[in-house]
Amino acid sequence: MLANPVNWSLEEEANRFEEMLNLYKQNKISEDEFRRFRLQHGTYSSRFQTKFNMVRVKIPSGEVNPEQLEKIAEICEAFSIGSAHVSTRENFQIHWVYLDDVPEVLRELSKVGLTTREACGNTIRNVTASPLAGVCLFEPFDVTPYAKGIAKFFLRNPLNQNLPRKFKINFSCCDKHGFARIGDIGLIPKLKEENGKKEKGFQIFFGGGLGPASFIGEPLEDFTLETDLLPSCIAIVRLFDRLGDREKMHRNRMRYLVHDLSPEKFREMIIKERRIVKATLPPSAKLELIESYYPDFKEEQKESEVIEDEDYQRWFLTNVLPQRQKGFYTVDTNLPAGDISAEQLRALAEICRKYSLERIVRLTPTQSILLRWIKESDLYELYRELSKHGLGNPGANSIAKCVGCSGTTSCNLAITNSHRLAKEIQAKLLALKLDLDEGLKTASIKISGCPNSCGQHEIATIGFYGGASRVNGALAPTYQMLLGGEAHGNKASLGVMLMRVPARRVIDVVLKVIELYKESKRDRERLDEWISRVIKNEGPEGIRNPDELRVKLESTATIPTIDKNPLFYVDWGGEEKFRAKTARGECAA
Amino acid sequence: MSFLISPEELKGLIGKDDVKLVDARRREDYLQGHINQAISIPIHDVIRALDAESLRKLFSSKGISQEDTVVVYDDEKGVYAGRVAWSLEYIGHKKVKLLDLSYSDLIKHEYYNNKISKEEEKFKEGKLDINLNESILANLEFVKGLIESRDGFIIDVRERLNYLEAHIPTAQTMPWKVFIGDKKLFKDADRIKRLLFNRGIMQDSNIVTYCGGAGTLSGISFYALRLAGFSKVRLYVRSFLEWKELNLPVEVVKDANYWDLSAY
Repeated sequence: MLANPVNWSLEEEANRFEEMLNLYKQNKISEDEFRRFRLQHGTYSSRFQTKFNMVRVKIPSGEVNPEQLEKIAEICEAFSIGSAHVSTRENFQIHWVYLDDVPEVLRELSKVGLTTREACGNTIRNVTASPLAGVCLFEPFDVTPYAKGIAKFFLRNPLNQNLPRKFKINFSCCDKHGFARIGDIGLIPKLKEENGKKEKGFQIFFGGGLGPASFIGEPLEDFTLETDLLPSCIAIVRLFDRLGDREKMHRNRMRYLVHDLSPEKFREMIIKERRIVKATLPPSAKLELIESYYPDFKEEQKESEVIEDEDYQRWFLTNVLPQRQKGFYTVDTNLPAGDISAEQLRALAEICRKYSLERIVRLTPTQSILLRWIKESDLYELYRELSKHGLGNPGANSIAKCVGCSGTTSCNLAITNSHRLAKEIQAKLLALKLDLDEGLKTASIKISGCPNSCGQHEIATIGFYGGASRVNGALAPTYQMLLGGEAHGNKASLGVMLMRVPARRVIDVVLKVIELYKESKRDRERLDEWISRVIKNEGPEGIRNPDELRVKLESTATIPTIDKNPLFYVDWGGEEKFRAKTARGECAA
Repeated sequence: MSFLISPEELKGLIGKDDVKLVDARRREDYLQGHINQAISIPIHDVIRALDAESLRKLFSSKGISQEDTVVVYDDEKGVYAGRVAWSLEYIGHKKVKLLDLSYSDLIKHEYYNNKISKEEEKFKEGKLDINLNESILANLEFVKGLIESRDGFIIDVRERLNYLEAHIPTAQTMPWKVFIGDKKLFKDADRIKRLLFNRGIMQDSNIVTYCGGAGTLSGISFYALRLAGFSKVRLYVRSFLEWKELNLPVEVVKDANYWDLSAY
């Protein structure tokens, strides 16, 4: 029996949205009041077009069932641009929706249990979980029921309706995976042996987050018992609510508060607050563990056949991961920069029904979609089915899985077209078959269209964020390049700034870095290892440190003047001369 | 009787002398198999008939007469059938119907007991007059007038990206699939009505639908609005193709690379 999917939606909310929209149109509520309401319901204004909106569908733990995929497909065609977009926080984003149609979109979403509630605005945003949770080789236990439980507890909870600023909770599946250290709250599952009994619990991190100024989350304590999970989260949210800055919108994420007070001080405050929470929390306020469907399976011990298909072998090497359940595999669809068409969504729904034993898919923070619980004997057939619909691109678990936020395709804050650039880099790396290079498999490229880090550039091996540079009076799209970031479970570090690169030279610079690495790497050294050596001033001869690397890259990264090469003054995907145009963001409502 | 014919109703109609079934699909598809007694009038022939007299000739040559009940179907969610039906209505035919589901769905339907036919249907030349129904046509002058007077709404039913790139000034965007049902031809009338009400469009508003060029997507949208009780709907049959050819002004959504969000 498949578990009933959680109903995250509340049908009345669509009616309420319609009422508020009408009041706003009749000038009975102010622009500000309506904006706050709209953001609380996941509706974010599109680039320079107040009539159009992005509708962000919250997907707790990234779990989506086939019926929901089909509904998203239908909505995309009827109300949007025919494709949906997977975000780095496991949301589905539906872009360029006409504001007047949002109530209809919410009604449709609610038919399949999906909500946009608290997907934007000063709220607890989507609670994410590592997409491998439940199948990960290294996890002590599946965090998904906890992640969904936390999501459900805070959804529509009065605690969470008017925070100083947005708030993000990330669950890792193990010490090696997931984004626990870049959330306001991050959680890694742990087992602790006490009196011969294994106790479930978490290591909790607080005050992490990416943005114009980023921080890695600080550990709260070594081990937090599972019964203390909810009180700890409530304590942290309450402290932020009480002490957070409601004035300075640009500097009021919890990470600033934590570092203004010092992490040590904040840690003590959390522990104290948690005592109060535990003493005063009504017994009804409990964490409900929401179990996912766990397939009843037999381990497959079959000898695997060798399949003489080069493309399949490449895909198998770069998109398929073994599960802790022997004989089962997790498969990545490697969506280019997170975009998936309505036709592909429908195909994926059918494929999921046919091949995935758990009958759901998982959205990933690398803007992709995973199919899990695939039998080894089905892999080749699955590959061919996926490929028929353009969902069989190789390179998912390699440097070729480029992340790119929506950038100037729809965002008010974006300066550059990071989205298109990510697709271009991916296409180039795949064409060069660099996804097959063992040394490049653990490296990543992530791109944001502005310093705000939706593309998570600071945790990339090679990261970029968009800006503009003036050369002899002409404005060119450029990217700030960062090196050596990562976020893997309990390990995380932020990339260091290296240099500015013209948008049109980003691909060349990436290839140049790879070339330098190949020339000077140690035996089986990987690119990310090589880069961290350079950052630590232990790099190879001539590329000892970032300064020396910069010198090596400078000739590749120069900008010719506009009369020599006007293309440098036009952004990717653009036809006109580049203008650095932005409008007010609505993140801080 | 509504202008939509259910499979149950169709069963009672097949075989009657004064009922003509029109298959609007491509001729090749018709020859592969069609509903018993259906006549082939491919959409492309209808689009090529540029004036009322050519349309009259085309339809009468296919055996359609003034007094017939004509039921049109396709396998394209009404995109072909709508345009054919509209053309018949435009020259003054009063008994034009649409089959309420696509051919592929019909032949799977439990009420459809007739096996498909591969024989070309024989028919006699029909008798048709022209009695132009100008109230369902929007020509260039009408569209321009509406933009000027603001006394009505222009609806662009092309896909959203095409709309963002360029559209007729003042037009609103409603991709045609917003009207299309799953098993039935259209979504529920109430849903369509609510969608338009939320856009500030009333049932007695003047409405023009247009699409990329052939009046097909906008043709089926025309009928969706009629179903929802909008009484003054017109089809701008030459659509955006004419508008562009004449180099008339367009509105564009600037400074955003929305095309790059597409997964197609």
